[in-house]
Amino acid sequence: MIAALPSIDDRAHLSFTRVIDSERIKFTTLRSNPVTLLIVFAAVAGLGLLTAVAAAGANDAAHRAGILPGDLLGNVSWIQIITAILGVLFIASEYTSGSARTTFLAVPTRVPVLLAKLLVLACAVFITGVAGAVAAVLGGTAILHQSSIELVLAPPITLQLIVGAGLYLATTAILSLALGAIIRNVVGGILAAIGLLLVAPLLLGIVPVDWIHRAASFLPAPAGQLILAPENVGAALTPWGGYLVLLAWTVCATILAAILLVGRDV
Amino acid sequence: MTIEVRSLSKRYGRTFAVRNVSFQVAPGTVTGFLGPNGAGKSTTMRSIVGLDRPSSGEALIGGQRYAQLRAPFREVGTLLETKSAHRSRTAYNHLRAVAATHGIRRSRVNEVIDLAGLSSVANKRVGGFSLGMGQRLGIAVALLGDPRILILDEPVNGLDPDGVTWIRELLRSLAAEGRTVFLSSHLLGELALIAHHVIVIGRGEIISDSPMDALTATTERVRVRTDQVEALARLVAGPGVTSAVMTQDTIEISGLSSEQLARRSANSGIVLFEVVPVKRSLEEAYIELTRGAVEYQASSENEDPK
Repeated sequence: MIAALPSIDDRAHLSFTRVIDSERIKFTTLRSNPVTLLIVFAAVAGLGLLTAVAAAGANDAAHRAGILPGDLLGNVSWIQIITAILGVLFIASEYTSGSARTTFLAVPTRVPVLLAKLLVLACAVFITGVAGAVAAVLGGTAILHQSSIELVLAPPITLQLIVGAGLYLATTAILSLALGAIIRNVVGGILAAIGLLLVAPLLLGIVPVDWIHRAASFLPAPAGQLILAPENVGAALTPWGGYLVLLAWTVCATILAAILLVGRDV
Repeated sequence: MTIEVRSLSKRYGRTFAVRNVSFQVAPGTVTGFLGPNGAGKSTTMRSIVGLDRPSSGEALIGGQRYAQLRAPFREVGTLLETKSAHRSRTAYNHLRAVAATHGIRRSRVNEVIDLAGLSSVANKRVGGFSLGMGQRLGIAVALLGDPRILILDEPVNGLDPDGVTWIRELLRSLAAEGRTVFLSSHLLGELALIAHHVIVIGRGEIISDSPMDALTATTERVRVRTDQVEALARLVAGPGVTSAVMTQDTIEISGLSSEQLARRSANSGIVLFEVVPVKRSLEEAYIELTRGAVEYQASSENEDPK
């Protein structure tokens, strides 16, 4: 009864695209993941539109005139916590739940699992971030236009804001995935991600020493967020330079995660 | 497909979980892996399938490390611990995600769900599963790739009597199909029924590696029923011979074969009703072997707690 199995043959073997497929199934079969992405979309779009509504309704001319395109996406620096948690959970919950054992029995070379999770997470968060940013930027400028506030948005800047929101959220989510893979614990991973992305810049920002201030701008979050503030000319880094700094952090954390993943017991 | 463990050691800090362990599991056999808690059974099994990284030595499957296999699930099915699935995912989706890594079709997922008796709960979340259901899910994962080798760590742990019967039948049919089964179990009676070969480990080292027959071979012990128990005991008494009166009319004598015993009692006119050579049970053999190797020996009652 078990022996004769026409459904298993030589075509059943490992491949990277199949590992990606497996991770896609894992991502979509936990209800919390699509729900979280929906919340991220609603938050990026909704908070952007609210910012526009608030500016449109302001009475003093200074406030009305002071709104910048990047303000419509200013809330991304808070929303990143949701996508960071999503990234940590995607891998740390494997260890907390014990499913990591099954996962690495199926894919004993291990690193393909990390890369597949990275791709699935990056795609999901990038698309969500871009969709939210499109709604926030286009909807926001439309609302402001109705109140006769004209945001000067050159097409390249609009594109940079929209793609940048997706890239920033996706990259910090990958950084968080790497932290989750290094720490292998849900709570510890989330604390590390919040600590690096949110608390560290704040802490270093209140230290009244000049070089520490400068160093703080090379932390992943402040550097990466420059891409969402094209008008911020006083920064030490260019917008894309800042994003590259974030990317460097992410690549380093991912490499460390991969090295540890290969060497450790599951 | 042979499982071959070569000089495997696994050290945590200063203590060895497994020390210089070598053995082979021959293809098509059922091999039992016995040992007290903490003896290194799980560490050895986890090292074979690449979850633990050995400190030295290696484990090979058909000459290759597990991680080098092109289709690990078609070669080896592994059941390690009950908790190996995400609580919030359904059994079906868990299996589907695992199957996807090897491109195993959905029809096979449905087959193993039936095989493991999970049909009624396939669409329920794993978090609500009983221990037995979790174990069935683990078995379903192990069978997913229709593997030639099965490595099962305590497959009957925590199962109710129905579950134990189910596992026993399943193991028998898997073995009958010629698959290699390497399993650890505390249920020695169950193991004695199906294993061809037994490897005993204690304190991280192999204590015994022998065919089941050799392990449970006839001892030099004969159980005799007679109404002249005391006379018989006096008759056989001598160097190298011990006797123990079991009941009013039975006595166990070791140091003499049944033939010698029968002849001598006939000469002395003692009538024997029954002469039965006593076979050692796997349990007795195991307890003898692991005496002194029990990691967490219960302390004596009179021991001063200070």
